Amino acid sequence: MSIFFRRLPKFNYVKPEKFSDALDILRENKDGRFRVYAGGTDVIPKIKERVMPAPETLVDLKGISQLNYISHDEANGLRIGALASIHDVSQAPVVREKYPMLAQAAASIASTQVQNRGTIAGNICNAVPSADSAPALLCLGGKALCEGKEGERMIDLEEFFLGPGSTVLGDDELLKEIQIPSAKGKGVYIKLSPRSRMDLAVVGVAVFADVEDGIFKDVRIGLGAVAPTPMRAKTSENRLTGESVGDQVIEEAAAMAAEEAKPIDDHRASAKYRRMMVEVLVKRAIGQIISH
Amino acid sequence: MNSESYAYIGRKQPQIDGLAKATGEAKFTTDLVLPRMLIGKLLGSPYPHARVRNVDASRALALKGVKAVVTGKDVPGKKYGVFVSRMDETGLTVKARFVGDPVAAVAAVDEETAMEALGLISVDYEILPAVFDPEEAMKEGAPVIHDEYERNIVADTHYDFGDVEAGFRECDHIREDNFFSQTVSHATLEPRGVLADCDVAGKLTLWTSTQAPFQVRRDIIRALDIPASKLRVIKAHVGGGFGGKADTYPMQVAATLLAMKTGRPLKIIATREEEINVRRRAPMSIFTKTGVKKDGAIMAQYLKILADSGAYSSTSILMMYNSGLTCMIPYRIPNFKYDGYQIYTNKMVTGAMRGHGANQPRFAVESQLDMIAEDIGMDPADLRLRNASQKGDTTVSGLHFVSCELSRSIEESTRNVGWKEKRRQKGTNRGIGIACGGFVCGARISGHTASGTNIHVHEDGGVTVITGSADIGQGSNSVMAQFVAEELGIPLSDISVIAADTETTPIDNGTFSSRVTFYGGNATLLAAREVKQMMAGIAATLLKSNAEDIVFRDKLVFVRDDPSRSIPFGKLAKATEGMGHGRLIIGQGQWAPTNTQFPDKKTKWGNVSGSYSFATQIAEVEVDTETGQVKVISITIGDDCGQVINPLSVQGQADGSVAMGIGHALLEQLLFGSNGQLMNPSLLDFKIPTAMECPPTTLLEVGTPDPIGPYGAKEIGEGLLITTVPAICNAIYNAVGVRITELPITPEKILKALDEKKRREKP
Repeated sequence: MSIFFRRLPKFNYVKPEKFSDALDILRENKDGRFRVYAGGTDVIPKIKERVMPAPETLVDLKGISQLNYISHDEANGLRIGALASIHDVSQAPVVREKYPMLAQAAASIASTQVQNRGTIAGNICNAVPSADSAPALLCLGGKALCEGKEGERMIDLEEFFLGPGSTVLGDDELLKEIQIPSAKGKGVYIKLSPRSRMDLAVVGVAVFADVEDGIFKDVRIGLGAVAPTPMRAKTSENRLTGESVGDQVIEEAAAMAAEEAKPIDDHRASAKYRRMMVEVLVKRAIGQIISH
Repeated sequence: MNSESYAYIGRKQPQIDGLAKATGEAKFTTDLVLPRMLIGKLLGSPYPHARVRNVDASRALALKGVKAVVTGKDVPGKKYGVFVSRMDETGLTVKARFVGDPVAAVAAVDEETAMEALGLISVDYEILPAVFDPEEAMKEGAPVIHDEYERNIVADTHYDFGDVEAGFRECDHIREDNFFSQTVSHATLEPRGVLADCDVAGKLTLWTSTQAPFQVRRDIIRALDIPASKLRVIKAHVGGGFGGKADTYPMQVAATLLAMKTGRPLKIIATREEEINVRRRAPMSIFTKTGVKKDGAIMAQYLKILADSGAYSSTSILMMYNSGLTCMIPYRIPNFKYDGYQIYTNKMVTGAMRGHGANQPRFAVESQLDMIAEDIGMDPADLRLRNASQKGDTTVSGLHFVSCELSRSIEESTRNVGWKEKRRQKGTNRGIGIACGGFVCGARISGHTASGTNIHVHEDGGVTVITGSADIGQGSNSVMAQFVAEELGIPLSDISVIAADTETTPIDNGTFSSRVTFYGGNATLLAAREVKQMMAGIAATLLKSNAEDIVFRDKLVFVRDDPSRSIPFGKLAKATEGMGHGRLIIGQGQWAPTNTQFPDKKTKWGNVSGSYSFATQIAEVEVDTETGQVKVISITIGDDCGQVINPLSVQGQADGSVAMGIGHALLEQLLFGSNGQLMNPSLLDFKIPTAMECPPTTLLEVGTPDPIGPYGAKEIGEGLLITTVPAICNAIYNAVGVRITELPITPEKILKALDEKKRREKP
């Protein structure tokens, strides 16, 4: 937990203006010699608190204006550039219209100030289990377009997280763009936290479902803050897929999601409570979707 | 004269410094800059209990930009503290008593350098055994935190009024219950800060965020062994105190010492983490025993309270006095006994916080009264009405109520919310709860307590009010200006206020104990009336009338029966000071109540306050029985603060009390690690409510003008808050039938209690 804030240690600072320049800088990166940051809302406090060792050089990505975009077309779906702010994503008309669950999740992150400064890509790369955008992005089948010295690769966000604060990104790699395919269905993100604003999720549940003629066609359930990484609750999803909408199956699926979660006790909540809340919130999220 | 005929009293007035604050022009301590100013930082102990053997600052002093390092050994004077009998602080210590206890301070050219220098100071500690739990700390053989206090007992307060044993024997029903109120932070908007300057002649000036500049001066001259006249303390604009800034704090001592040593101005501003680690509300374990007759009449009450003092005394003896005293305000209790203990531990210090010792027992007693009401089949509002204190009452402990509208506040607030109907709602997970309380208007339990105001009238009719009362954001400057505006019939825009400066304003104890409007207001009224009397005399001559027939209103001074015979206020001021009269228009007022006594040393009997406020609060809540979350839907308040002076300020106090109460009831808790270190010194993990958690508040003014308060005003700053927490607790019980006796009421506690209830109810 938090210790008293200290001054920033000394490090070099570079601010490349082109994506290719940033990749060049990271070419020889290892052991955290170079650290990249965009909004800085996670990295800077971590360095101040000595949770993250001071890098030799801090690479500020904010100068790469070519990565600040949100675009959409029916064929490719939504593309969120690495520098698109959380606020912009939460407010973009296309996100609000086509992916309201993502807009909802983005708007629930921290405070207005943090949303203005921070990026969705940063929220993912920071890889905390409670990242609000993660359960929604997992449900939406989000992919991370990454690039390093070996070239580009596309990583399914389900494969992206390794543990708290840890991802599959190589030291030389940068997340360039988040891609979300078009999908038919409705989604809901429910965040449980002591305060209704400016707070961290004790449990975050995202559910995306396509319900046709009273049948669950396609169901995806994303969970936050209840495992070392944001996760999908696949057993629960499978229980629902192909079934007729009904109280009993929803209750069973919600209980399965709670089983699948791997929460821990901490100062914010007990594991037991988190598990119970997964069940409650999955049920509520599905309820909200089918009542629409 | 009723409030209808007032020009300013009882009317909504914007704060006189509102524009300066809204535009950012108002100067808080952090905004102040002097040429050649240095920045200071404090080094806290990493150990909860350790003797400082040696401090090696050579590496820090070698760092470019570092100008001085001082340690506990450089503090030349005596220990200081809130009470003469409990002085136990030095500012910088040679024996650390909690994690973060300052052992050294550094002066450097900027904050970065000062922070880097802290890391270069080597301190050799002798680590001592530590104790964190008050119950453990009271045991024989526990580590001794201050040598003078056996078993770490810093306050030991007992009352025994009436015959409690006999009282309990007369009861038809008696309950004994245990409660626990957690420790919370003041979380003021503005962190602590100080700017110290030392001139060539050795005269020191401090600008600081404080509730009590005169106490800061008293403590610092003692700690640093300097004459009182050599230190001037000026209160800057203050962004909230809530009791936390009533004490002198180590940064103020260290800044003064470093300014003396370097001969340069020096500023220290606390980070939020440092700020939260200075003072907190005391956690209390409370045993409550209350006995009633069948009709609900309270016959006897006994409380035993164990409070954590943390590493230093701060207000310990006053807090423990208040915890017992305030139990006797709202209800007639013929037999009352109380044992209060406050215990040193190796954790950060507890002290005054809005409500000061009253909140915790109020939570316990008001919860228990609801339990009793249910036991005897009585409506909880009726139970309170049955026992409510009345005007003219003298309590068994000697408190005397010259005004009291508690019954009316219960009746009006219950009527306003539709109490009877809402209590009957079943199966909605919504509930409604009530709590009552009362508070002092300045407790006179120690030393000097009068307040003073001087008033100067300028030749154009503008007025300067010079008062010792410290405006810390609550708006006392505006209240003082309103009193003067009403007396002299001039608008607030013609009045400026200079406040709380040890060199230029009258002496004042400080802003605490809800005394400012009551004491400072009366002093200001006296000063304004002296001015008025002098000017009325001159006006009578000029208008060929009698002084007693002269009226001051709308910037005019006129003859009551013939307003056409008038003179503008500004012209009268000029005439008074000018040729022919040549008088200086200066008014002086000082005031302390004359109907109070210091509590008897042995029995604690005595009327400690000139008057008392009373309040009823009704909370409506909705409980989510699946997540355990509680939402406060509305708060309705019936408040007897006497005559309301400024309805906007009073509404602000109500809204602020509700926010703070919701935090205390549902959200907030300071957490400590195994080493007694504070674990959540941030506003992310110490969860004060946001505006989204705060419901609309309905404030019903039920008071009548008090015979002693200025224009009949009484306090509202603290007495309201103490009833918010129990009203919420009682509403939760009404909603879902679970009684949480340990704060805060977290969702997990609700679910656990609901689960236990379900098991109990299963056959």
